[in-house]
Amino acid sequence: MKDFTEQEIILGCVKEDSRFQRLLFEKYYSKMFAICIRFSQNEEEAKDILQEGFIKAFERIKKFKAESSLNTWLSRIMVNHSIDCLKNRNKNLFSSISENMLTIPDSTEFEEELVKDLSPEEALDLLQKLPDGYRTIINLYAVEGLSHKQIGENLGISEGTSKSQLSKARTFLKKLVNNLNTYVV
Amino acid sequence: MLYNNEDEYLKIFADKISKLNPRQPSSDEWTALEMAYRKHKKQNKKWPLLLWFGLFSMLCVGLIYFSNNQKISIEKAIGNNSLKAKSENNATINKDTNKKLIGNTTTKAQNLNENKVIDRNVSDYENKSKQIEKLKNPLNKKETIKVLSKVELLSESNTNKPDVKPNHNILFELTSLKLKSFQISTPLKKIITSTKPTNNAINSIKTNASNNITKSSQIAKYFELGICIQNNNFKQLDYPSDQFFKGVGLNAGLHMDNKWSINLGISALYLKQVKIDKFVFQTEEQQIERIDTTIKYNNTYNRLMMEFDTVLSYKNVNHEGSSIYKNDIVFIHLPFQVRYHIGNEKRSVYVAIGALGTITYQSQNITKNIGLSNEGNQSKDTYSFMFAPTIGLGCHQKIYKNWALHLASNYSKYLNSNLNQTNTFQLQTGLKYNF
Repeated sequence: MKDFTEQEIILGCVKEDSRFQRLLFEKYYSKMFAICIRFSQNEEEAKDILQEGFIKAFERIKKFKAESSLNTWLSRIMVNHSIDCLKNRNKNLFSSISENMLTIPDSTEFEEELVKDLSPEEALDLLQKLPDGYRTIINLYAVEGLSHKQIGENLGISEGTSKSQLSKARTFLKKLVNNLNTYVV
Repeated sequence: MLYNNEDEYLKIFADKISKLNPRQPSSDEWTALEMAYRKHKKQNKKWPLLLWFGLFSMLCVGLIYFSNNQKISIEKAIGNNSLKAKSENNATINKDTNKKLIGNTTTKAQNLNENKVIDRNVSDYENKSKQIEKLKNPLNKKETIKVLSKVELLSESNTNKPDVKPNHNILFELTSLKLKSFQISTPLKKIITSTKPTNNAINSIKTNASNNITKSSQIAKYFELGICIQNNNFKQLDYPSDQFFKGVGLNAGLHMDNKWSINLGISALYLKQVKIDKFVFQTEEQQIERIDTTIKYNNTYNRLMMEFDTVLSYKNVNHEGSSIYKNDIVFIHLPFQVRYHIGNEKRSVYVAIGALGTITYQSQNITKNIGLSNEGNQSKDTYSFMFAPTIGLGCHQKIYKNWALHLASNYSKYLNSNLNQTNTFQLQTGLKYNF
């Protein structure tokens, strides 16, 4: 098939031409899936989020103003939709986390270097084992690069809560990494 | 983003995550997405219809409720009269007598309208009250209402008979009140004030009855029939701004009291547009420039032109040509408004807030010509539903009997629009009829 420019793909999607929609889907699939899998607990959930995210994108592409790149625009849709899905599943993302923390044994041997030895798949596995709230806040802060203020606006929490939850999430993650060989969810 | 020492750990972790092997899509996933998108679109088309069906249902229920409420209030007033009268007199009258009394009541009714009942005999009034009670008891509620209606009709037909005795009863007073739609009639006031205060019970009966009826009769129905013109702001489209949509509409509503009313309507507006555009085929570089413009301004006209450009594969060729662009648009408006009136029945100004649902049908046809030959033709029909909050300003001026002149202007800001239409300004004029 002929190589189309981004503008042509956008135009085709505005006209709801399924060929161009497919082009958009295939072009951005891997990047968007990477976002969805980070926010979800497993691959199936990520696929669902991805599908719904693309439906939203097809609907809203008429309003796309080209103020940012299509990749950035799609990423925002996927991130926001992932957060919405998590909120729908668990109204208060940070409510049940403290109980989960009790199940993680404290590590006597703290080795920060352990994280450097993780493979990407192991890192993803650990991320998915985090409670929804912690996983979300680590994603937004460390991967998406949002500030605490922006995280607060996204999640409907205060800046202080964002900071404190990130601190807890970091501690939780460290414990998971340190107990990688022994901890089973 | 800057990381502090504490965040170094997360940064390393995030880097690990971002190195995940990219996953490629399968054709099954695309098929699933395509099906889900189609299903989603179908579902989205249904909800506006359901919304408007719901609004219409609510209005119908409201009309029935208020209509029934009016009848029940009258009946209740009669019931109160009967009970009080019963406590003062236990005389019994059979059904045949009651029927005769209806006839008497009807015949004597005229005196009420002529204000000749001021000096009537109070004891006779008491008797009639008792008779009404007896009249009501053997009958069920529906029959009572039927009897009332009969009395109304007869009383109207007998109003000019000169040989009516100066006598009346409560039943007729109630009927008379019912006929006055908004206010207590002057004759009734005179009756109430002139009745000799020999019996407090009767006075209180009459006062209660008049209050009940006055309250319930403050609801009246009306309809408006008119024409309207509309200036649409297609902010991002290539429509000439000096063209107006024109159409007709019908509104119907209820006056809750003299100040508040609700209104529901339907109107249809139409615009036929023809535009001829001359152009020179462009180079590929210019084509890209045109695409950029389209994205920036979301310009439908340029978008259509692009389609033709693709069809003709004109790249790197310079030709002169023209396109004829035809556009037919029909708007079906379904407005709902709550109005607050300042003024009186003869003349009032109102402000309104509400919602406007708009079903749009658009038929686009574009023909491209190069020289004298027709090189391409494309047509497209689209439907859409738009929803907008509305504010309005209007006035009524009574011109003849129940008829009034209606002038109004409404402004609506669309919340969703496939046409990139942002707002609509309407001017309406027409006639209003009060039932």
